[in-house]
Formats: sequence, C-alpha cells, structure tokens
Amino acid sequence: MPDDADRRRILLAPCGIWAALVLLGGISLAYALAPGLPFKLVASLAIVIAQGGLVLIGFMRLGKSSALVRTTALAGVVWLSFLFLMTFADLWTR
Amino acid sequence: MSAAPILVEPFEEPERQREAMVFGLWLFLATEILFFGGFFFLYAVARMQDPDGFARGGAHANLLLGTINTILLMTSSATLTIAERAARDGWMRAARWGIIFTLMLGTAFLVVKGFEYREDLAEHLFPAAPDFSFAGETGATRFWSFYWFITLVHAIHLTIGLGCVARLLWLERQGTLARRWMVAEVTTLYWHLVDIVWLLLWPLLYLVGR
Repeated sequence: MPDDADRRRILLAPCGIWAALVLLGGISLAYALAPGLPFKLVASLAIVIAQGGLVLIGFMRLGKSSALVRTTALAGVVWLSFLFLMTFADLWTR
Repeated sequence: MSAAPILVEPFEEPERQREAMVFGLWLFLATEILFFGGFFFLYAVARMQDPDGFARGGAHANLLLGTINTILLMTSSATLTIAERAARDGWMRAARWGIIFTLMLGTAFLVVKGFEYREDLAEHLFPAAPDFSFAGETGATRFWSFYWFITLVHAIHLTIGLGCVARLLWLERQGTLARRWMVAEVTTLYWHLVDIVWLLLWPLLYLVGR
C-alpha cells in the first residue's frame, strides 16, 4: 500500500495532465470559433500535436521507455510521414 | 511498492516480461498509427481538393456533442492512468474506482455518439441515403463519408478497449490485478492511443467550417 506522498503522486500527476489537455482543447475551440482569424487548421493541428505529446509523455510515459520501445513508436510515425511527404510533394508540384 | 508480478513462459525476470509486453503492444500501436494514418491521409487529399465543400459539410457536425465526447475521453485517459499506477503500487481501492470510472466514461462516450448519429440521420447527413442534404456536392459528400467511416472505426476500437478495461475489473475482482499490473499497463497504452486518435478527429470533424 503506498504512503500519502505516493498516493498524491498517483492522483495528482494524471489530473495535472488532464487539466492541460482540457485547457489546450479550450484554446483550440476558442480560436476556431473566433471570427476572422487566420490559419485555423494549422493552429488546431499544432494544438493537437501538443495534446498528443502530453498523452505520449505524461500518460504513456514514452520518454521513460526503453530505446527499443521509443524506436518502435517512432517507426509508425516515420513511415506514415513518408506517405504524406511523397504524395503532397507530387500534388503541390504539379 | 509493486507486488511481485505473475510471470508467464518464457520469462524468468519481471523486467524482461514487462519490456516484451510493452514492446509488443507498441509494435501493435505502430500498425494502428499506420492504419488510422491512411484515413487521415485520405482526409487531407480530399480536403485539399475541395476545402470549401469540406467547410460546408463540417459546419453541420454537432460541435456540442463532439466536444462533450472529447472531454469524456480525455477524462477517461486520466482515470485509467490513475487506475494503472494505483494497481502497480498496490492501492487496489483506487485502481478499482479508476477502472469503474473509465468504463462509465467510455460507455458514456458511445451513448453520446449514438445520440449524435440519431441527430445526423434526422438532418439527412448520411451520404448513402436518397435524401442526403449535400447530394451532388463532392467536398461535403466526401466529408460526411469520412465522418461516418472514421467515427464508426473509432467506436469499434473504443468498444474493444472497453472490453479490455472490463477484463481489468474482472482481474481486480479475482484479486490478481496487483500481481498482473503489466496487463493494466498495456491496456492503458491501447486506451491512450484511441484517445489520441479522437483528439485528432475532433478538430478535423467538428472545428472545420466554424
């Protein structure tokens, strides 16, 4: 059974990350609903990247994982980025 | 302090078993990233070809229910993380309630999604229906085709996740979860990926066209 300090750590750390996720979601929503602002898609995607980073680092503890696990996680993103890069390189240069 | 984990063949050390389980799950998650990534790729190309049509279609998505579901999923990620860390440290009361709250939040997500689907159908937003609101509009039709497909695929993933989380509750009731916290850890990793996918879907489906 954990002591009081461990209990606080177990409860408070995820709650802090949750609060940050909600705050970022609120910023994304406010920016999307505000009339006349530029780059709405870019702003919302940038916020999603920040939220995803919070989940990966804070909830999934990817930063504390082994190099093997981090490489595996990165592999999915890297191969996916090739799909996007090659296709859009073609579409944008036609 | 973690309880001594139950080891399964061929592992003789807890750390090696944990590394194998987490690695195996991440290998699966990498394929999931590619799976969902393909659909996001389709979205990007279709939207680039007709951004105005996408905006017209997206303006009819139910922002309130989509936002409620986003908060529900973010909260469920926090409660499941608490459950997993509590189970690892042997605080089983917190683990039990974390799992129960996660099940409730995940189920609430599906219920809200069901209400949203009902409203979408009432507003004739199903592209295969003969009275589809955007019949003949390529961009809006593609948006709603993507909406139905990707939200259904996501809901299937979430339902599988609920089954995995329900199994954690069963393990807790059996009294073995404290020694099988690695199962809780990999279940939590899967749940978080389903959450990340939704975090990306929310702006693409509900904030487009606002």
